[in-house]
Amino acid sequence: MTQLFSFANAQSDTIVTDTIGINAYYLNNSTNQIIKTAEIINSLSQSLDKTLQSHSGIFIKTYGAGSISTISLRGGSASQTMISWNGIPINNPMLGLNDLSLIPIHAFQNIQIIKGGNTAKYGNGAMTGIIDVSNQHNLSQNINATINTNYGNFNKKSLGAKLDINHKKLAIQTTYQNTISDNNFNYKTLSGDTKAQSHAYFKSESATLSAYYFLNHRSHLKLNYWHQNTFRQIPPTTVQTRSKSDLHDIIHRYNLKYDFNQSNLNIKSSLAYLDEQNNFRDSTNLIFTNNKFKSLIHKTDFNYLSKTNFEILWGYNINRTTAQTAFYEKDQVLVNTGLYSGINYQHDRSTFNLIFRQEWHSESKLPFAPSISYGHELNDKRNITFKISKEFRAPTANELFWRPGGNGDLKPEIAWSQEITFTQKGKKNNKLTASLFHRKIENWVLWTLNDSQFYQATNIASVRSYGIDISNVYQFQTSKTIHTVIGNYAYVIAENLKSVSSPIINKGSQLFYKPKHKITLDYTASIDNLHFNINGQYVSSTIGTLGDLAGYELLNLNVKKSVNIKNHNVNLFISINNLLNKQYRVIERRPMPGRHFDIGLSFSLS
Amino acid sequence: MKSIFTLLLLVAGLGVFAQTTTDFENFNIEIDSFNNGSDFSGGFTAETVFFPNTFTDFGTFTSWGGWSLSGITDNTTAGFSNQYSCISGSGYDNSIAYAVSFNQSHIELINTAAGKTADGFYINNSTYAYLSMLEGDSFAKKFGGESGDDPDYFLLTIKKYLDGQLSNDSLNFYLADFRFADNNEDFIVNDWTFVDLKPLGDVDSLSFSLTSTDVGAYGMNTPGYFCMDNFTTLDISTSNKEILEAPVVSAYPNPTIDQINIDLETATETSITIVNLTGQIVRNINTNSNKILIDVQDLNTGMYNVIINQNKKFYKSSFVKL
Repeated sequence: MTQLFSFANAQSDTIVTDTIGINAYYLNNSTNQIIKTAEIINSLSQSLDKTLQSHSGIFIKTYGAGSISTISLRGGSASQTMISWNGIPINNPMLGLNDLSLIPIHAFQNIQIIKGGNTAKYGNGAMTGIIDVSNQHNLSQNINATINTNYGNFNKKSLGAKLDINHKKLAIQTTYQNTISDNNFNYKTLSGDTKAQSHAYFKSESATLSAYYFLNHRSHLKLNYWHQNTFRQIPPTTVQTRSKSDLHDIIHRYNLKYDFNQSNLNIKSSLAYLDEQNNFRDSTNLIFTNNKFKSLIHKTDFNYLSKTNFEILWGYNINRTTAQTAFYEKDQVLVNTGLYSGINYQHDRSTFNLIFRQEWHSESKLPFAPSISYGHELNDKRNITFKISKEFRAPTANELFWRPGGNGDLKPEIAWSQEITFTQKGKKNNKLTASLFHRKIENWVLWTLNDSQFYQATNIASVRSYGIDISNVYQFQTSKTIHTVIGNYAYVIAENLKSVSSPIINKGSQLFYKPKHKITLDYTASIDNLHFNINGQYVSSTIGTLGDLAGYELLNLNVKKSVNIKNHNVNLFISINNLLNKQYRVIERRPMPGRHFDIGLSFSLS
Repeated sequence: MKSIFTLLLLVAGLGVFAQTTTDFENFNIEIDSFNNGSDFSGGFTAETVFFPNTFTDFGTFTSWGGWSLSGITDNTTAGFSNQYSCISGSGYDNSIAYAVSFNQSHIELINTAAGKTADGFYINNSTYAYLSMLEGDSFAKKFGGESGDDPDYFLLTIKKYLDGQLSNDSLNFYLADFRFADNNEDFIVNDWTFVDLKPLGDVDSLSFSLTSTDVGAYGMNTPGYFCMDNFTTLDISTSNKEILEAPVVSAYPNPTIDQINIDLETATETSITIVNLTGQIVRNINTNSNKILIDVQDLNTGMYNVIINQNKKFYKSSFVKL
């Protein structure tokens, strides 16, 4: 019998992981993928949007280099996917989404992708899945200091430092990174002329702290802090002479986490505080939006394993957000509390999971959300899982309160989600995962033109999404070379079931900016300390609000060389992005850069 | 006796058109101010034309639509914040006041102009729309697109209503047109330009709608504004209408020195217009009575026509003032 109920988060001798799938069941039975940022050759120059774009089947909607990027997972909207940081949801409660371009992956060790509806377990907003970035600590006794720098085209310069202090019971990671770029790349217009992107300056300064304190062999504390200050100009569109817009994001995120881990009991409890602001200025249109919010989040998860192959899950969360903008009538307070309970049961090769969640929201009546799944190990390598769950997403503060257009009568988006996941594990890290999914969302919130001729948030749309996710990791060795091939394919249909007049959405049509096909293929050859990587992407055509967008293929080339000199480690990487110099656009009138280079150097002192 | 007149015949008989020009100056709009209907009046009446507007106060924001009076002179600031401005920075012939239309708008011809022919008006682009088409903005494209060759246009379509019916007749006016093979001919209107409405004939009201080639799922991206000034009504019919004469109407004594009696067959809502031989309207009276006494002492000596509008039926009579 497989050891299903081992806690994935159990403390090992030296490595403390903190993935949000707190038990093996979820790791095994969700369409789960963990990306180790250390394995990404150019992680110093990567933000989460680029990582997901090149290493997963997830579509990233981006307005261009250095600009806002949002996620679309399995045909969902950005606000239907939970983005979390060490288990704390960090979706902006005013907008509902998170700008993935503002998440520097080098500050984290793991990127965990859980596809599929997970509201019952993780709560409001996990309709289509979860992306979690987390820290991992090493309790070996050492001090490691790293400085890094990287340069790229378009006057990109980045300078950073990382300090790891690991001493007996304490492990501290700190990072600092300062990145600037003009993003003044050339692009081809639709008529073939060459133009230069302008007013696209980007500057971001980030600092993170992740401290782990070993209380005893059963429990530990963890403190995380994340500050980031990002200023970026918003470039003109390809059919705009100039722009005077800019965006300034300032975030402070704190998270204190307690973890108790006994042989049959695991308790995780977090208290987080988010203090963020997002200031948009358009001096042409005299639009100035100073949006601020503060969220206090507390959540606790209990897992109790009985001796009869039962695991009992229980947990709660309390979120209180104060949101402030001149576009609200007053400061708005949103309170969201949730309670869930469930069981895992294993018999022979079968596993059964049942979770119920009820949440209460100060502005919206949320439905009871059950989730039931059944998994069966076909043999030692193959597993199949069936899952049905109810999902929901409460309206965001802007959807409720924004003037004009906020609608206090909004209902939550509600969905039933079904999926079948097949997993085959091979030798080493080889793994094939294929999921068929189907989801129907009612009360989808759209901003539509009302009788007073302004756009108002309404529960007008009904959307059916279905498709297939395939992910394959294949690793083999020839002589001294380790070859790793990772492939992802996503086929997503996300169709409107109702016609909408403004915006014009025809019944049966694919949603805006949802490609039906996305493929990534990533090959890495590692010979001792030399790593060669080539990454290809294909994104099929999409329908935009201004017209159709052509599909595109991208090829990236990355090479990394590590050298060890008396406990000092030097890493050098070179990346050629968009090797084929493909001219493409993810959004109409927003050009993407052609071929460009990144070169980086890091020096570690232990 | 019943006979058919066309207004052209009538005009031929009268010798010249009557007309009223609405130039918005009598609203005393100050320079760099506007009136977007925030007084909830529902619109403004200028001589023979009613310009409706809507204004909604949502507490923390307001919205308006239809017509706004403006004296804004800033014709360089782009964007929504300068939505009440005309690209010329003034009204027609450097006047202060003009009107700005936003979104779907319409006007109603009233008093002596009701149901009659409008001469035309002067039109210009708003600063918001003009600069958006010239340079693009966050939402809208600069006309011509990335290459300058996109066949873009910004079109005003004017439709007429008569007797409560939407007519098939309409007029088009291009506020911008980039469809020319030679890009040098592409234009965005930035001078007051006359729009001749006479081809529409008689109208009760006119509707104005804008269309643009820059359109997406969320509708038109080009700002839906234009400016108007010096709207002129002829106050006289140019369409084939039944003009009925006596004995349905009688005007007496004829000739007269100081007053004229008009007897109608029925007492109903009636508009009576007295026009001199030069086409000038000298009296305009609305009544519900079928016996009307009109003081004409102050009129100059000469012949006058009396045009009576009863439920869209027109009656004509005449008298001589001694």
